[in-house]
Amino acid sequence: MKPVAVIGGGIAGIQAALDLANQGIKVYLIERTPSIGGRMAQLDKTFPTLDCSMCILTPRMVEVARNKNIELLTYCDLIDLKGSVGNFKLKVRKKPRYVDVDKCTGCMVCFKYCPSKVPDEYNEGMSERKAIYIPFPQSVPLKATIDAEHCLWFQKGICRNCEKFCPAKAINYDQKPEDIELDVAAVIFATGYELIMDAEFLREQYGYSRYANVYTNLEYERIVSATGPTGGEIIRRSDKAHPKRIAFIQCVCSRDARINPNCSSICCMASVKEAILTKEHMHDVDVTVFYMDLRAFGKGYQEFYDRAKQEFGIRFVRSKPAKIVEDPSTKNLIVYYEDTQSSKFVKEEFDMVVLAVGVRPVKPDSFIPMSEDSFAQLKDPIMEPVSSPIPGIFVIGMLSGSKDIPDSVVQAGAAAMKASLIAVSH
Amino acid sequence: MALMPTEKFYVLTEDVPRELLKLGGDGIRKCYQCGTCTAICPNSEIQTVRVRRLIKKIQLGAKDGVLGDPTPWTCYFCGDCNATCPKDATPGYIMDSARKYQIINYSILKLGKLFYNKLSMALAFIVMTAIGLLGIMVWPGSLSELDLGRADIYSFMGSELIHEIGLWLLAYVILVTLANIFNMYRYMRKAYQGKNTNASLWIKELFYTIKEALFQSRLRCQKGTSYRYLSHLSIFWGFILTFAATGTHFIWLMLYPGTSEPSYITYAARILGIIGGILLIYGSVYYVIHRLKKDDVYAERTYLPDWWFLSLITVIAITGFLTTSGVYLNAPILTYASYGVHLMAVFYLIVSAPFSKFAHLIYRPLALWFAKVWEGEI
Repeated sequence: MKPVAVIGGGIAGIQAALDLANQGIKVYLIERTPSIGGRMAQLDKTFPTLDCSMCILTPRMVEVARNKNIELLTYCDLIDLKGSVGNFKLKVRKKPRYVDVDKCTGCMVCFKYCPSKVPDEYNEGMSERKAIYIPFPQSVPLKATIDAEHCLWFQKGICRNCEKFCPAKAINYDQKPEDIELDVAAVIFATGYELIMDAEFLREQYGYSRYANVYTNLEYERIVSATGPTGGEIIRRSDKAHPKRIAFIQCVCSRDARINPNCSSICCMASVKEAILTKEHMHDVDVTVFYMDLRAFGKGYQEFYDRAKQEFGIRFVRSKPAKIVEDPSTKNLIVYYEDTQSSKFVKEEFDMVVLAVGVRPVKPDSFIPMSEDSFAQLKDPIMEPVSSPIPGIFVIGMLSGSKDIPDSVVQAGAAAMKASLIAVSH
Repeated sequence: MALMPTEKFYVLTEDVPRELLKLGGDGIRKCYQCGTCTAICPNSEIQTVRVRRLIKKIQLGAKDGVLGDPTPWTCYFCGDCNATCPKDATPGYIMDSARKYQIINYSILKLGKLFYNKLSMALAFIVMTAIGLLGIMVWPGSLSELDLGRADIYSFMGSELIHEIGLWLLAYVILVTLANIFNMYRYMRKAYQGKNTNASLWIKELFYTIKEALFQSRLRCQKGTSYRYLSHLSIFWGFILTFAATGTHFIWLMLYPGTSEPSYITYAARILGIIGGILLIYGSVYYVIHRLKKDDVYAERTYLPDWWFLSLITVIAITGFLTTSGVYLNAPILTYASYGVHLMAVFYLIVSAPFSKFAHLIYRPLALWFAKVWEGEI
């Protein structure tokens, strides 16, 4: 019985690894960042149940760490993949953490003494971490990592504070990248997604990064989160005031022939959820969602949407705003739109605008064939929804098409089953 | 959802989308009704425009709704909607095709159809050419006294004959245009059902409309005082001036028949004509160049009806200039050749005027006027 490799430590990869390991199959779970958890770890709540995202994710992360059949390879890059079904040779590069993970206790003392501040990826750049860091408090593994690009020792040859103050003497500046070879029967790719942030029109039409109070949905997710940069208090970037009028704009960089024609499929419910969370945080706030088609297709989603309208009084306007203009004195945002249900042209002022930015998969180099829709190609979208055309390789989660957490979890289980069939017979 | 109080029922027909597709409105296949076009349209700031709603009416095939909508005429094709449309549905070209569709359907006996189809256009061209040539050859007095020793345009065709034909053509254009306008009024009146307005508003908005027609300030508002704006204005004023020159000359000839002595009046008319001619050449050549180079938003696509109008005014402007030069240089062959082409082109232009793109001269201000007076939801 040969092992299986899972590429990507988000919820899909975690679930696939657990499902395989619990069958007694050895799994290599390869993650490029210092911790598993992925996008789901950044979310505050999940739709449609409003479960705390971290509360349902962290038990599984810990389970991964504890499971004897899972070898967790965090901060590692897949650099080569050869072979065929039943006999894949993977070359994985372990990036140097410059911290001896066997000694590091995750006490975080080093953070205090590190002088180098870096925008925090976990909070979408809205807060700062240090050059030696742990992505978030529930990280698995809970081990520090030195970000050499921002470390004063690596950049300027000074400091070495972390070494001085580390109680466990875990710092090791001499670590080198290390390549390891894995021999596996099957590979499951679950590399996840990123927001499409490089479209010029985000800046031009919607003023993202030009206007302080325009946010992406992932940024907003961090703001409403208690572990976020504002401690869960919804305040504006410009003046730290509580917004009274918030607009959510759907289908930004998705369903757009110029950038990305796909529907990102998560943003409708994500925005409904964020709108509800906003109402739960502050009662005297008007929330408006600009949508074109509200796609509430999953179990309990329509009811969730109905609750947003009826119970929380969230206003839904069928329109795609054409542009946003900032009032330079108040930093409020004037949204230009046509209410297509009454055919009225409206210029409405909001204190904060949240853009539901579309997604694209994180491409795992050229290891798997991609299809024209920019997602991973499937052997057959109906009958083989988790199989890549290459036998023995599976693509799950956001990589093969936009989908939400429940669907990703389902696919993880399906791919684990398929992979285990191969692993057992080799 | 309950119907909005302003919503009306229309008879739906497949002909509308089908014809619009032929006229360049292929974006109606892509539009998903997000309303970006309406919201980005600079005209939305000034008055009620309904770009998305018009596209919806076209998609549905609500013929009366499409024909009663003044929105296409508020559009000067700044291209903002094309640039921001998330579906690349080119709302600008949908508006353009809607204008053509309206011109066709406002025209009496749907004669406009002749000028929006390659085959019938060729046929109309041949018929008009045959009539024109026959006219020149057969009409008593014409061509019989051609003076080859001296460039004299009146030996090509007597001035009285020219004016007689001119009067007939003028009468034809006025009658047909009035009939077309009546159709347009009917459709728009129907669309704006129940909107009653008093005479003072009609007069007040008439002044705005005339000002807009004379200076086309909306085109300037949209993109600044661009060469495109100046060229459009040049063509317009070129027409006005050349028309004024012809009119002055004509009236002078009526008042003093048989005189060939030039007077201050005829000199003035000639100067007006020359200025008008230069403006026409400048404007039309500008548009020909940009439409050939396709280097502006409106110029990405040029359809046969656009070329018909544009090439005619270009030919008229250039041959007019050559004829005048020929007379001053006393070059008979150049004069007669260019004058012949000039007259034929003028003949095509006038005959097709109520149905071709030329008709926007009258439809655009009228539609703006109606829309201003009846301002509101339709």
